Amino acid sequence: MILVDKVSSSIKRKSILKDVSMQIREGDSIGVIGPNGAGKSTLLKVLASVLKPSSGELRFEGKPYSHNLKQVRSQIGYVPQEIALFDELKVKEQIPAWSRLASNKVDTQHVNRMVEILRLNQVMDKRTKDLSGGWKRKLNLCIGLLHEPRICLLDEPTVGIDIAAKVDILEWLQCLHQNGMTLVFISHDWYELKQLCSRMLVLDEGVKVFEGDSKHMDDLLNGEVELSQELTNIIKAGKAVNHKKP
Amino acid sequence: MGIQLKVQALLLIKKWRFLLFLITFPSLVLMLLLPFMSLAITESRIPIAWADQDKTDFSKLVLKRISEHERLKVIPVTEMEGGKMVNTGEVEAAFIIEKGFEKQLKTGEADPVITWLRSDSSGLDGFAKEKIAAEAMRLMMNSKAAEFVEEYNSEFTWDKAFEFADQYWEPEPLFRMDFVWVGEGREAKETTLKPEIKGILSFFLIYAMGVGVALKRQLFADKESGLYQRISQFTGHIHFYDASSVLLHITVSFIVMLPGFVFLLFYYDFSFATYTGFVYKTLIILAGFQLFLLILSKLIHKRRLYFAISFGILCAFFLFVH
Repeated sequence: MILVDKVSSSIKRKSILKDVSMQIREGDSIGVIGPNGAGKSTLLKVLASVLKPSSGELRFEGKPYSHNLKQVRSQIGYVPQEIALFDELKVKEQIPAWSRLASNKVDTQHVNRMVEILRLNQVMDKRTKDLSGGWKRKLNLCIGLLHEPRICLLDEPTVGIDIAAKVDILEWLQCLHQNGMTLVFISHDWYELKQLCSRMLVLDEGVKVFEGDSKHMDDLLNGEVELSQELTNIIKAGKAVNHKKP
Repeated sequence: MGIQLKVQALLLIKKWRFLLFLITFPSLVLMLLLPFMSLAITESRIPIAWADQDKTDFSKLVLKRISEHERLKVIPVTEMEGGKMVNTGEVEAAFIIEKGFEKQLKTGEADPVITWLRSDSSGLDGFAKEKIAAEAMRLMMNSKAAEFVEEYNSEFTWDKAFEFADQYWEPEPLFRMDFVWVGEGREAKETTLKPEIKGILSFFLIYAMGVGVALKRQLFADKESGLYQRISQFTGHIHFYDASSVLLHITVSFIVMLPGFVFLLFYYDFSFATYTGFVYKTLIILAGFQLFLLILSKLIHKRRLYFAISFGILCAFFLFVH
């Protein structure tokens, strides 16, 4: 579906991604993990075509991104980490505005279903800037998936929100994945990643250090892959949290 | 494109208080400053003294016409007072209309009929002299024409022929020479707008351009929040967003200028036709400036640098206009 071939990206002459290669197949659910500044968000931006790679190639359905950018963008749903919404609009104005802006025709039934599952109808009359962090995240997610994309790129969609909202979002994503949507998910939460993702990609200082099944993540800690101390700590902490969970 | 326009218009309308302030602010400033501006312009006129010893229709007509000139301040005095005022520097010059002024013009004689008093410090009175001489010449030529017509065509009286000849001087002389000054690569026709109107128009124009610069704040906010990139990703490209913002900002800038145009039309009782050219020119300047700002905002990603450059350009434009 998407082929990433030795992609590098630099921002202000600083190298963020270094020769990253990977493949995303139809129906995959890939978790991306790594310390802050590892290049996770940059990788997602490159995949979403928001950022152009400085070198390397990206292919969608066998064709280079640059040759069919419009199709790529219509098939990819991107949920950025930041709340990128029209602040001044009410929720009931925000959703129709984005529905009309989408390059694909948006199915009203799909939108209504999403609104219902994410319980957004409770805050329809509120202005976006007046919403709490959790509601903003839900709305952010809803907008990213309005046009029923085949692939969804999620950059920490559950960060800084309460558990109830987190559960809503994760259940919804699981449901979408079961219905065939391909997911690429960034999170620092090991539990979330294990719940949602069947494959893991570990980035450290812009370099891909591990890619494989989530059950093989233990290999990382057995010294088979050389990791930075920070990354080792993150994974250990994540596993420790995981063990404590019921 | 239409949807982008609608969304952006909706977002602007949500900030209606800010918009209302933008639109009404220059009008309020204008109302407060206008009395001072008019006073400053009156004070900047060339003062001349006018001593009419002929007191005929012709001499009164010349006085009336030069008094209407926006660059001259005419003070009617006696001959004695005129001389004193020149000596004390109160006026640039004094013009004494000698007895027999009308009679002499009617006969077409060009002997000195106006005495021009000036001092060594007089510098700008030449302009007044030219204007008075032009008015005298107008009367003389009309008189000669009337005399000629009356002699050869008995159907016309002298008054009727004079009136007929005079109409060719309104609104401007028939064979008026259009001076074009050329220098440093620019060429401009002499405009006939009053200085205070030019001042008001340039104030509104620069303000509207400033509003255009300020409205781009939203673009930088959208870039910083990731909204700009998201729209690009979501819709497939960013061209409609850019085009909509440019169109909307041109409209807002133009609306900001409208009270100025309306105010001037009513206050100065000018026909709209006089202003049509200015309205078009204004629209072109605003549109061009918006396009320039769009390119600038694409090239410069730092908000502060963008504003510094934009306001620098506005200041340069302000100096150029004045």
